[in-house]
Amino acid sequence: MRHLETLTEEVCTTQKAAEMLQISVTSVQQLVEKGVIDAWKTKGGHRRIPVAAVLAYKASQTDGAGAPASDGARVLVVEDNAMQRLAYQRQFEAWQLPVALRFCENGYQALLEIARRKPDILLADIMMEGMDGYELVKTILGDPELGAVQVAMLSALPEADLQARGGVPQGVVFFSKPVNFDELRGYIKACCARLQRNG
Amino acid sequence: MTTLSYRVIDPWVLWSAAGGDLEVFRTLAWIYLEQAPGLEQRLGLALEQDARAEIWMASHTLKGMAGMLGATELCALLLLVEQAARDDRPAPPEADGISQLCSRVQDEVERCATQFDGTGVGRGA
Repeated sequence: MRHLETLTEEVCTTQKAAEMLQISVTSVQQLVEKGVIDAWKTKGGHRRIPVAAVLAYKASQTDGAGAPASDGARVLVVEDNAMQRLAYQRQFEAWQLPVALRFCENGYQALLEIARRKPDILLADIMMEGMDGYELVKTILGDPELGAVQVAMLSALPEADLQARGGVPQGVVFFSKPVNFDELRGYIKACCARLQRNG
Repeated sequence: MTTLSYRVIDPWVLWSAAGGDLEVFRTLAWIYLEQAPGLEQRLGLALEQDARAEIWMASHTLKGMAGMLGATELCALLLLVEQAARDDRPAPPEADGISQLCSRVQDEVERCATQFDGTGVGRGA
């Protein structure tokens, strides 16, 4: 039996709320159970959350500039695959590292997000519609204002394809997909330690 | 239903990606069920039209999702198609088998979404 959830303008599903807040489904459920976010259930037992409640919670979690209220490395993940985004979300949650995680679905969104709020760490998929990861990373590497951003590229593209694009740029870390999350955790931990040391 | 009954996917791969979280596991499965048919259709249309850039992107994207399910046979098939398109070659004859294999993967993902619970034996029908 499939549990496909739908979205209306006034209410949303738990999954949609998780996407809006860029946290896990489990976290949304916990917030609802604690009464932090209002919600109700349909006769079929499916949770429905007022979009206004989600937006109000989101506003309460950011400062005036829209940055996360909590300290921590700002991690921006650029990934067009919804399954992969959710997997990253879950893994980051489990790691409990001092990071604030945000997602974008393509290179254009990422550039807009970077202009609003410079990340400390960027994880970029390569093959995406429109502006792909290579173009995004090239743009970032070419901007002196973004010189401190630590960049990693993640892709299932074979070595030959990477070489055809000029290889992995210097100073950029590459992770092949399927992602080894233990390796990725190690990289993020190292980035966080470096940021803490540099202040 | 045991994990032995999954022939074209490996639920444990998805379980690992979900960090052992059953709710996330099921959400990942449902995302695949929601998005894969449209991608398969897009790939099918691209193959009919021999639109190689589109074949490359669609097969690569579907391969990435299938990889998260441990669907190695489907991934291997999509890789052949992806590489042919990348190299500007016609799709290999194996591409004819994509639809049937996608259907089998879909069936198993539907089952594991409700029956797999990370204990190794599932919850039965």
